[in-house]
Amino acid sequence: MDFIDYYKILGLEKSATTADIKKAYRKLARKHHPDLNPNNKEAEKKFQQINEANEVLSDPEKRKKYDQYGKDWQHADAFEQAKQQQGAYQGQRSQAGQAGGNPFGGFSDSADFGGQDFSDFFSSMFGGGGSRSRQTQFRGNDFKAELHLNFRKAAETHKQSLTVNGKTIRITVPAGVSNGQEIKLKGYGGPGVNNGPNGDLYITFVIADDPDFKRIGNNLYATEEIDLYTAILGGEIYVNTLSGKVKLNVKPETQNGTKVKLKGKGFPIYKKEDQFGDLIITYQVKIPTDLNEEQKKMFMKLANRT
Amino acid sequence: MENSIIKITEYCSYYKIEPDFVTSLEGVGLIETLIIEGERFIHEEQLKDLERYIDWHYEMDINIEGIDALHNMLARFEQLQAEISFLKEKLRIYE
Repeated sequence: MDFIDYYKILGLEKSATTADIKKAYRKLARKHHPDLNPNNKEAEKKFQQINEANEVLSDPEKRKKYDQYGKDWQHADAFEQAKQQQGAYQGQRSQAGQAGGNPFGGFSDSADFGGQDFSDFFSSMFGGGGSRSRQTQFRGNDFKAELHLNFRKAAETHKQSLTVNGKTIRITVPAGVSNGQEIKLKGYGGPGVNNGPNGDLYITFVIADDPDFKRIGNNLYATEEIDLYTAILGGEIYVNTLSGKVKLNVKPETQNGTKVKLKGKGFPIYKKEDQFGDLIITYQVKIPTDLNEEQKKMFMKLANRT
Repeated sequence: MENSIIKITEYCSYYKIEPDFVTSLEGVGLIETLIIEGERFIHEEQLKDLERYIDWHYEMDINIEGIDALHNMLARFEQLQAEISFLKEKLRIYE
């Protein structure tokens, strides 16, 4: 792990008092707190660093170790113990002191104390998501998960299984869920601490686009090509809806871009049984191409160019 | 759904919070409490909000008025985010 300068994180000098640390922490927490920066990963990371810095510097004992040992401060006790043991051993061999030199005695940089990075340690303590110790002391962390759904699948009530932190949860997804919609499953988050309640599980639905329909709210939008003759003379066409094809009467002299609304043929309305939005069809008049000579003459006649 | 209620004095003593702070939050309408036989209680479903306000106050030194202002601004922020999402969806139709 790279060395993290906790003083620098809080914008402080090494000589900062406890009051300075508290003040700096609060000022930065007000700026980067996840509650005040929703969906901001950078602020979340920054807040975690601030929290970590405060946790160490506001505790006199931890601060003393950090000042003395820097990045290895969490191994300070092990260092001290090893130093004492080594001193005793060296005393037996040569009676010579180790004035100056490496305060960690015979330990190399790669000495393994079986520890873990402090940041990792804090991640586990604070849940890695910028949550505060105050919360984790009595309530489990909230979990967040994404559930990807097919567009058409989101239009029907169905059951889905998802695995969160090794636990499989089966939920009923009501028809009509929206892209980005979040639902809360109470108590399915991290376990509570000190008999506190479990956290909650927040599931965000991610709904894939559909090649035929665009969705805004409960309404669906689609474009339907009609040929020039049907546009001018009128006729019948079949259009796709979520529940199959339906017949539409195209009025004579229909203009390009004309919109027709098919009531109740849109997306199901969330948690409202048998209620649906509308399907709005936009006609796109297709101009004929590759006309033969006879057809061209007829068009010229219509255009009074003969 | 049945919700449990928590006695505020017990909650405050357990988490070392002054009961006056909870009363102040109620005073500005940020939480609701109920009184049963002279004892003040809070609904379990409001605990998350309460914890959040406690955090803002004790961790960030934000006073009640500041908490109220933040609460309103975050609500407005969420509303604007929802509007942006809606408009983005709408824009995609014309793309």
